[in-house]
Amino acid sequence: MSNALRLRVDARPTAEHPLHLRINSEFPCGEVSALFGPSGAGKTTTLRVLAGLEQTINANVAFAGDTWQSADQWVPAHARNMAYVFQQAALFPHLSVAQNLAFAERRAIAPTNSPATEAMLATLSISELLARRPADLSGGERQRVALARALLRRPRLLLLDEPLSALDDARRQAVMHTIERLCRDDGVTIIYVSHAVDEIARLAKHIVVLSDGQSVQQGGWEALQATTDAHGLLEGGRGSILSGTLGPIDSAWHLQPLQIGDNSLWLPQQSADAGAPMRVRVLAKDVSLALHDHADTSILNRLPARIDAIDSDASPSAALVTLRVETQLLYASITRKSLAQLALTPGQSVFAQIKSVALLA
Amino acid sequence: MSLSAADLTALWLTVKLAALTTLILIAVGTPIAWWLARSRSQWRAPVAALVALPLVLPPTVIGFYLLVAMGPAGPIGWLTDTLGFELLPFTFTGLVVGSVIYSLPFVVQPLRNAFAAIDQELLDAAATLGAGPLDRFVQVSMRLARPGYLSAAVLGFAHTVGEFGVVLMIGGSIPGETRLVSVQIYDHAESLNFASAHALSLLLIVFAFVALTSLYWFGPRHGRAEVIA
Repeated sequence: MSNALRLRVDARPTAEHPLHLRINSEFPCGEVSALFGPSGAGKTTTLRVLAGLEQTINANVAFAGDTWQSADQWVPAHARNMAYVFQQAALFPHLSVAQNLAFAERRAIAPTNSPATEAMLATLSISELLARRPADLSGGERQRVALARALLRRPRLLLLDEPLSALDDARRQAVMHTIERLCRDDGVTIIYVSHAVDEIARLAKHIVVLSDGQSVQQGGWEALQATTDAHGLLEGGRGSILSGTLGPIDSAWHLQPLQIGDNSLWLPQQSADAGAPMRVRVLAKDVSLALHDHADTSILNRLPARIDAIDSDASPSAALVTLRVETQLLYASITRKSLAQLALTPGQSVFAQIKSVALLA
Repeated sequence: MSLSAADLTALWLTVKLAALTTLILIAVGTPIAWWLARSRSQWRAPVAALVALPLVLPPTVIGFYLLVAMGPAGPIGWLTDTLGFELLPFTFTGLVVGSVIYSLPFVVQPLRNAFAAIDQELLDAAATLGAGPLDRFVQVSMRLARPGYLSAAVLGFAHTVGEFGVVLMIGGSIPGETRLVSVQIYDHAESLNFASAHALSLLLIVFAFVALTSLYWFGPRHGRAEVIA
């Protein structure tokens, strides 16, 4: 497949790189893919291999049909159609913000303007920072400038190493929105390293889970959440993603339904219009089960579901119940006592009471 | 306390030699310093030692071997002869060659420290923004090493002004050609002309003090040790 970023690494550990890196992955072009895993799993090293900053690591890298690295080929970083946002921003301290941006602009791959890049630059709102030196910027400001600088290279591949970790939440949401546009409108391929589940769940169509330098799992978010290994890495424990489309706002209560098939999951009123796709993350511990639809409860979101599987060995006191809402997966963590009292069995129809959801997109 | 015409000639010659030597050293020292700061070659230690030799050797040793090498039977003498140039001993050009070797560590060391202090991630960032090796070197490394260049220039210049042993061995004391201030002072003292020796000596002390003060004032904030090279 030429319309992908292909990466194959099998690098024996050395003094310089003690990790045994073993990855065989294909990242779809024009999408956001995430590299996910605990600290020290090799995420940053993998990004550096893709960027061409690790010539000593034996790897095969090809982007959209162009071989960048193989046994007998090496394209240096500066000749790759790529830009990289470093975790620590790596702004040039001897240059002002404006000069840092100009450094990238002078060496841009494609000189043409693109609406999505302009939108991103506007979202990053760096115009008030232009005259300042990197040393005088806050961590969040530095990240914004680093992101803008990388965008001004106008690459086809953007490598992002925790690019939003120092931003406040409102700005993070806005930047994530423009990152999505960058892929959708400009067809930029993005490889995204982050610890933040909400960022990955919202942005990434393809996820590669790294552990000790190896790609232990890869696939879409939906495929990954059915497997347990990935979940140990997620903050807040096991959870599931429900996706649907937003319905019309209920202005009386400032609520808006997320339509999941014939069911509605009520959310606080969103800024997006009806019809917009939306995903929410529901933690297993926030889901309780009832045999009947209790209207006499403060829990607003009660979805009919069918029990798919029951794992009563999850812990001495708790059981994990895998449910299906329509066709979508939903996990509920309940006590084993409740499991026994309600006499739950696979195939049974129940009502899932959802106490809280985290909005993703 | 006034300076004679011969003193002024010696002063001008010294400034000319120091300026020319510094320019050459910056050009020659930059690649050497870069290689010493960035290479992982096993040759790094011996090359660093070779560069630092003039720090510990008596200037007369350097001067003696330069004299032999540049003489008609030496390899440099053979080279200049083959190329149709005059022999280098007791010429201004010979002094420039000697000064470049003698002051090399004073230029290489500050540059090496400045290059070694550059964060590799900044060079990586420059590469990912499309800057090739030379572009990175000129636009990032050299500009970040600017305080190192200031130190190197001041030290290279001041140290060349202060040389004596090498000069005496390979240059002698030809007015307007090889008679530098340090030699002129020696000649004044030999002929018991202490007033003239004082005038020139004081001038050199003031120059050295001003040079070093400017170095400490404007030089790199840390790594002061490099001043001692």
